[in-house]
Amino acid sequence: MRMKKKTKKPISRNKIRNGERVRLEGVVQQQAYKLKIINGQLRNGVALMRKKELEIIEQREELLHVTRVGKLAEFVSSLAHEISQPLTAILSYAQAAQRMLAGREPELQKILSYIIDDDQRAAGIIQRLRSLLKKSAPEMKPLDINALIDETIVLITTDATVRNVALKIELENDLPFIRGDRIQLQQVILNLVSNSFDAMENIPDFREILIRTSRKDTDTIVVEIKDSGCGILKQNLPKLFIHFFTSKPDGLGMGLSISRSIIEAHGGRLDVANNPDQGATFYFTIPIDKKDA
Amino acid sequence: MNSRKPIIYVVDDDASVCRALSLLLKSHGFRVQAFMRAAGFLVFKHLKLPSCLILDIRLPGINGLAFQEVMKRRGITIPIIFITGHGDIPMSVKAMKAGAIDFLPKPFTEKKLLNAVTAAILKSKAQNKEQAEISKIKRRIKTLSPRELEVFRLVAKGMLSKQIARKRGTVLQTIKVHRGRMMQKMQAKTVTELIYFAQKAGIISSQH
Repeated sequence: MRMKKKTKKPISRNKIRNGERVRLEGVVQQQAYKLKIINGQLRNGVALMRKKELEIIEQREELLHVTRVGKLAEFVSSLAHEISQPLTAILSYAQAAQRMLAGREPELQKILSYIIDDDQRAAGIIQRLRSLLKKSAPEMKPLDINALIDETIVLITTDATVRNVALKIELENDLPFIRGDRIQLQQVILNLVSNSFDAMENIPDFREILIRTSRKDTDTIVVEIKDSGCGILKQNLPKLFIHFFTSKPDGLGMGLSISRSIIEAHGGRLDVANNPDQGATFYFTIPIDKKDA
Repeated sequence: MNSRKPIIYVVDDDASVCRALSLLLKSHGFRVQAFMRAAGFLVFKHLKLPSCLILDIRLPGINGLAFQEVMKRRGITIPIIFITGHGDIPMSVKAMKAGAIDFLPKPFTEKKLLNAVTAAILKSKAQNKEQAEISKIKRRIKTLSPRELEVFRLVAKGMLSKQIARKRGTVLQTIKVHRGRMMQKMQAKTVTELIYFAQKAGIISSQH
């Protein structure tokens, strides 16, 4: 009886709620389906993000490579110049000595000619190195400087967060196109921003970089990168853009000199001024694309 | 004769390059004056000798092309041979267009240097000769009286004595006297020679 009752009761309950159960199952099924879709979207989203991340890393690598190759080329070029001076002197000394010995001391004459041969061998090596690293001409195309800065910001956001630096952007609307090499200009902006990061290393509280674009006059745009870093010592200002000059313990002293040569190749000017309150502002001008003016 | 030895100026900021080039050029019988700064060369009292300047294209404070301009503005006509430790082709093109004799990438051989120096000295000699001739003509012009100078100008422009007389409202005989004295002072045997002098002295343009 009891058993009967016991078994009967759930059956009757089932009977009562049967319609409800079918409905609920339907709901669950629907929800499961929706979840599946959302899950799929999520998975797609994650994949997309990963792809974008990879793209950013790739772009960054590419830029770093360009910077490295650029630095190496500049380095080799400077080195070649430095070495060509003593090589010129050695060659001329040896040839002068040969001339003064004319007709005498055949042994010494022979030694002098060996010196001359090896001097020219060294000159040949330098020449080959130089042609190997010859800078490719910049690829000048019409560019939207604001878009270029937006693209570049993506590459430094993580770095800024890690270093606890606030990035502020003020881009003037409707700027005309400029003419330039995308990668090279990005290289300049990255170099200036990374200098600003370094300059703020020891600033405890207020760390901020402001990147601003504006129209300077009818045919020039100016890009400013203002930081709240340690600023630049007055005595270092005139030397700042010279090869191998650096105030950083592990710096090469190449970044700013390359940046300046890039901007100059674009027909602009790169310079710096200390801010009245704190830090420094690097700014460069760049001519507007004539076809867009 | 020895005092007519050509003089070679060397301007390079590297002391060893200066000394080595000086030794080499001296061993070839040239007089050499080396400077490590462009300013040193500019203030140097230049001798009236066949000369040339061996100039490093990148000097502290001034680049060689700008220096070439400074020399032009100051009327220093010494032929220039540029030397460079950089492989800069665009600069060399500009330098050559602005009248440089040669452009030698460092390190250069004795032979290349001497070829360039020889060409520069030849050009310098021609320039000096030209300048000597011009100053000789100018000295002669200074001896002319105002009237004779006027006749010189008009004859050089191709006017006949008759036309000059009419223009000046004088008799032909007077003009002929002035003209004869002018030709004598200018040491010109023919009108053609006189016109040549006038061109050299800048009295009339050579396109005339």
